[in-house]
Amino acid sequence: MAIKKRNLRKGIYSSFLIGWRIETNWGKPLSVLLVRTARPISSALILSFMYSITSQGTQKENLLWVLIGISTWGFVQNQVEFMYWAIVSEREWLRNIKNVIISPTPFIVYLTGRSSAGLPFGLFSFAVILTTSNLLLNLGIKLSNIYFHYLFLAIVLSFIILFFLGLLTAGITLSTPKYPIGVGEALVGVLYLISGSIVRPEILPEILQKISLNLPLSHLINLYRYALSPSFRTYAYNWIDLFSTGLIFSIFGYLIYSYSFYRARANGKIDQQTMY
Amino acid sequence: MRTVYGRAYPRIFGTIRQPSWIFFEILLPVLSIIAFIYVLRGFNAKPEFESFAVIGGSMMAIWFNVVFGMALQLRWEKEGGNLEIYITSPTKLSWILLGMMFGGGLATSLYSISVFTISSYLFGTTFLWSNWYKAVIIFISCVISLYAVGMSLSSLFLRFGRSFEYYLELANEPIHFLSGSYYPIFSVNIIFGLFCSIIPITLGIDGLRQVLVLSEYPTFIDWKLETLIMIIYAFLALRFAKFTLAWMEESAREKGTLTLKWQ
Repeated sequence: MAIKKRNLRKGIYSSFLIGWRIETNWGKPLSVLLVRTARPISSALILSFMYSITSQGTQKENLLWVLIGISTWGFVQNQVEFMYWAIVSEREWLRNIKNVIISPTPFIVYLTGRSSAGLPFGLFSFAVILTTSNLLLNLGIKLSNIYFHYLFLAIVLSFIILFFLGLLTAGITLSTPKYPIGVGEALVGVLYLISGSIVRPEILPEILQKISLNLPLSHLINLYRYALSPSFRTYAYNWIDLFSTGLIFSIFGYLIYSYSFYRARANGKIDQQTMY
Repeated sequence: MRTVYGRAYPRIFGTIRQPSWIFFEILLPVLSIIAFIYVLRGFNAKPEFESFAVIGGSMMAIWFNVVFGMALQLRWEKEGGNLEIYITSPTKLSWILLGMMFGGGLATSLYSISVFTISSYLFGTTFLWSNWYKAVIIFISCVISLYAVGMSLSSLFLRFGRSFEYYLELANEPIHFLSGSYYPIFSVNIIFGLFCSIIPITLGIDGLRQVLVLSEYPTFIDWKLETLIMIIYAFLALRFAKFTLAWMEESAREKGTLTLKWQ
């Protein structure tokens, strides 16, 4: 059956709605946002306490660096997790993945809609962490100093790059039915360590530094820092690094997803239930 | 005893059949510890803070198993269709949960020790090993009290179903924060520390740091008292678990929701 434009629009809309309702458990939007953002907010609190105990308030720039990083992590947590959780829940728990695949909406469109439901959570946690920590810890972020056009671009690029990162994890999850949750979590965990969200790449071992510099996420998080505070504007922002790594990574993510999707179907893994 | 053994068996030997689970159970906490140790280095923290992070991060593996492998278990058994088999078998749910507690406690303790060993090796962290027997006493009390809390929670998760499961988000990073897994909890504020001590893992982590960390450790409650509190906790939680299980079973039988799925 030919895929019409109408299918795509309706598919995106309905899969966004499904994603939102499943992930929020049909709850009230405000309480859902508060519960979902409790994780990044708690991480920010841990980092603030670690900072206040160890540095006694002497290295505020370090704290600002870390807090901007952790505030952006909500985008990764929500968007990427929503993508591989969609596979796990449809395959293992709801046992509905075959119906999704044979529906007129392409599976990738379904995943796009499902993962888009994570964006409001990411934006909310980003705003809450930065606003509260700026007020309570006096981080020195001023509205007049923010480059809003850079910030807007960073949010748009986050959505695109994290979509492809989500596709990568979804692809791996599709082809590894025996290890469905662990693979996605491990990948996000490794990125948490090496993407420059809370750990400065220069203090990592050399090999990890090189990997970190070639990850679009590292450049993306730095773009947020650049947009939000003059402290991180010593040099002009390097767009080439962001776009080149972003493009390579996106193509790589898409190819892995496509190949894994094909292999999962060919090997009968697409609807293999292994949770026991 | 046969029930306890029968339910503990898959918790201990089941993982051998799926070695990838062992890998991920160990890898994820280790990654978290590595990340926070590098953050501490970024803050130019003293080396002893790294040993705080190793102890705290290793203990969190137990917490996650308590929440996801104990508290949620009856609900998963219901969804999987095992709960009715449990109830119709000639045994009690509390013995089944006790089996899960022994099996899960033993398996997770091994994960936790593995996380501790790997993290200590990676960062060359040293500890006061002459106090090993004190550490064992604290560790066992903490594991028992946590699993007893897990037993109490399991009937609540079963009773309230999906709506309660939704709040599991709060069992992750918020507990990392409230348990002081990466910082000394009483360094922040004594009242805050006392409030957080409601969660037994906070006491366990604090007690272990008191006896294992080489340098001076800022605390408010002595490890002996903490151990005693955790034992009392375990006793109370087991009593409460027995009561909540009976209440849940009765109310679910009356409402016909005991085996009703997707709720």
